[in-house]
Amino acid sequence: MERKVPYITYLLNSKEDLKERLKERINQIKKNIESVEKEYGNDNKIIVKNSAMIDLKEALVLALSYLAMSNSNKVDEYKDKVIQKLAHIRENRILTLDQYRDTYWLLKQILEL
Amino acid sequence: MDENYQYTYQIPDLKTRFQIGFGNIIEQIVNLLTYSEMYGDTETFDNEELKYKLRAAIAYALALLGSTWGYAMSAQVQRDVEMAKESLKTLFSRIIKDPELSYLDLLDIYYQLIQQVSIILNYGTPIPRPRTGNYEIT
Repeated sequence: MERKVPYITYLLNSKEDLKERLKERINQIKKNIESVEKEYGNDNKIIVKNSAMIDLKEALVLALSYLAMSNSNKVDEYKDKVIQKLAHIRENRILTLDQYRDTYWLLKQILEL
Repeated sequence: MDENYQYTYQIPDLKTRFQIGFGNIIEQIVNLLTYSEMYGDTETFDNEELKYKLRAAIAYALALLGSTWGYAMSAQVQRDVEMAKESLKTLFSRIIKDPELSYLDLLDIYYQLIQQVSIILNYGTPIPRPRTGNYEIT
């Protein structure tokens, strides 16, 4: 199963465009968290997978691109965290709700740079 | 069809074309990193496709740099473009020469690639957003 990109995007047209797309993914991730919490309660050990993980991975890749276009002095620190998260997900494919929520907060911080 | 209608096709300038090409290949990398790994077989996913696409993206980035030349540039901008060119050549060379590049290395190369190109895209004439359906009836 492959989800198609919903619209033609030119990722590097501007940093603002990229930020908007990252914001959309982060909003979707927040909805995913709420949806899991609604269904399973606040059990941090619940496994998050499938489409919710796709949203998270896309957001992490976009965040990496966004960091590359940013000038903040925190960029290197966040870049390493994002790369580590991507590598972890590649290896494990799933995250617990707790880990998923942590990644959400990381993405939120990057958006505020 | 009324033969008085004449179709014209707006050909974008070279820089815009390379930017679109670069944007497309970056989009493919984002898709690869986002989707293919999740649904593909990670045991056989050996980074080769990622390397291939990164090489293509770097080639587009170099072309973009070359086409940027000629826009009104200060000496400082020219130096920045030269430095970006050397950095991109180094990234390309790393992919070609080092067969042991890890997934983390490749993500780092992706990051540096975007970093170099974004420096350049801040210069020169603003690029109009490419549109779908560039046909005009005159």
